[in-house]
Amino acid sequence: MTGSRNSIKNKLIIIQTATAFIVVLVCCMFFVFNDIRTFKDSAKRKMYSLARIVGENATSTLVFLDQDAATQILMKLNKEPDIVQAAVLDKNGKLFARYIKHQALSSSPPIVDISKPATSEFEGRRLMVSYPLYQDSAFLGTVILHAELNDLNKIIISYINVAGLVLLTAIIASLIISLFLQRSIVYRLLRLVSKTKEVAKTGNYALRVDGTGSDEIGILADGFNNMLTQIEKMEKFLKETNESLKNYSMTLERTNRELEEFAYISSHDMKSPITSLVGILTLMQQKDAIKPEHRHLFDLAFNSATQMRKTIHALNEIIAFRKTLKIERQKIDLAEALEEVKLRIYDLIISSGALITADFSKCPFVNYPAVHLKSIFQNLLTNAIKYKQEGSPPVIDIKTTSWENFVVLEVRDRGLGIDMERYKDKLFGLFQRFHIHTEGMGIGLHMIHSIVESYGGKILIESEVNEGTTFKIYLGNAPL
Amino acid sequence: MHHFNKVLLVDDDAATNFLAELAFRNLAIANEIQVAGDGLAACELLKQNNCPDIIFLDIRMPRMDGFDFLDYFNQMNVCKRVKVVMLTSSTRSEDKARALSYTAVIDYIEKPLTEQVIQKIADAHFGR
Repeated sequence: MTGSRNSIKNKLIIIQTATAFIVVLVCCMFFVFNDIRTFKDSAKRKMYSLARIVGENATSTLVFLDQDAATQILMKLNKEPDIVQAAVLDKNGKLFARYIKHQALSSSPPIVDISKPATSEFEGRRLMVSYPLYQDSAFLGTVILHAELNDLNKIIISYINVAGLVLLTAIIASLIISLFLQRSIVYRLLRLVSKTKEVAKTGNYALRVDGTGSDEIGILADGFNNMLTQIEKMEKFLKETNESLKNYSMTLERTNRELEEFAYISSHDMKSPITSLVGILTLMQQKDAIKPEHRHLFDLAFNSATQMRKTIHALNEIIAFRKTLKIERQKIDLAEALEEVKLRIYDLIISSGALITADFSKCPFVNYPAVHLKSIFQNLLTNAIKYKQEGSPPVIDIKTTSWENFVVLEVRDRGLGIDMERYKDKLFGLFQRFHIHTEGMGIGLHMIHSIVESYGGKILIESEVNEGTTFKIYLGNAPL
Repeated sequence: MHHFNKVLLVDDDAATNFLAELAFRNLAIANEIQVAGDGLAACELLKQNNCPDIIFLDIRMPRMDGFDFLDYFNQMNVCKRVKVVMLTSSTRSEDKARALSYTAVIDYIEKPLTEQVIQKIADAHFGR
């Protein structure tokens, strides 16, 4: 975790310092061990030479068994500060002469395996050298030197000091180098990071990272800049598209308004002359102003005029209705709304003998514009009554259910039904009629469809010819 | 001038049918004139296989409109030699183009159907 949380800056410093430390430490250790070995070797050689010189001088004393002379020779070794003890042994290994630097030190005679040739052994910082003496290849005795290499400690300490100094220098140097590297790597990376943050915060895609280069960070920065350029281009494109779409939709809205106005004015202006025409024709009919042989012609003219008046009235109705499609929702008690609609078409219900049942128990309320909900009820009821089976009263079942955020209003009749195979694409078209022997104008379903769609719903129709039709109206039930 | 044995008028507007029938009677060039109130009624007549020479067909009608009639007529496999003239008040060019894309349709004329128009059609499509 800390690995990914540490900043690159710290990681780089740690890596560099650790590397420098390890390299310098290994080098120092190598040099220290090498120098100690060299020192020991030279000490050995020196002691060996001394042993040889002492031995050559002492050969005659052994021949003449002159112990004093031998001791005198050994005493000369006090000029050598390292030698703490020196001894000459006779050919039987018995002590012949001896020199001890400090009397307090071990007074026991050194035990040496006399059969051995010249040897030198280290024991810690103590060095023991033995040198066998011969005359005419006859073994005479042995010279033994004991040295304590006091300088070795000093040398080791000084080496440690030097190594410490070198390590310190290396760490400082690597720190300084790291700081310089930061300028070329970390600083640039950090700049990239801060730019990224700035872009994310301000959303200004016109920003760029400056001071790129040809290394990986340079490539990264170039890539970053390129991406920004792309995003900036896309954003510009989106803005322009959005702008033109906005203009387009404004133009559409204006055209729509003009068309609505045009339809309104033209249907309105046609309304009064056709009303007058129908009135005059009615008057003529009442006054018996038509000769019997022209009766048929007159009836045709009268029918055409009344048909046109109905169409123009329907057009007016549709246009007026379209203006109401933005009414706000309110909480409606479905049972109450249905009762009100039934009162409005009371005569139709009574004359047709319609049987209407309603079950709103599962979903008794809906948030919808009251005028539109009643319009839906009225159109569905009048349709079900108009397109009833010949010879039997219409039977209409109404119920509501709830599905997702819709109130599903289901109206089922057992009337003529609709040939869904043939008419499925035309069901909601204006002035579309699917039966000829009834009064319909073909605007009811069109109006219901417009209402339901404009409040976010849909209509499903299931129908069989001569079996009946079921309308499922999905009323978009948004909260108030 | 060509003499039609049988003419079928298909329109839901009785006045249109009456005026067309009158024009034919005045010209006296048809033995028989049949009238159908919409596409479906026309289909019923055609199924009796008593084929007309020419059909005058409206577009906007209840139950089965002119185009649906033409589609249905194509599948019916009766009266294959019948020629159809669209007689409509629609001035939309897409309606005209669509109508003329049917092989049976020989002309597209706007209401009303007058004697001159009938003469022109007879000369142009049925020879002298």
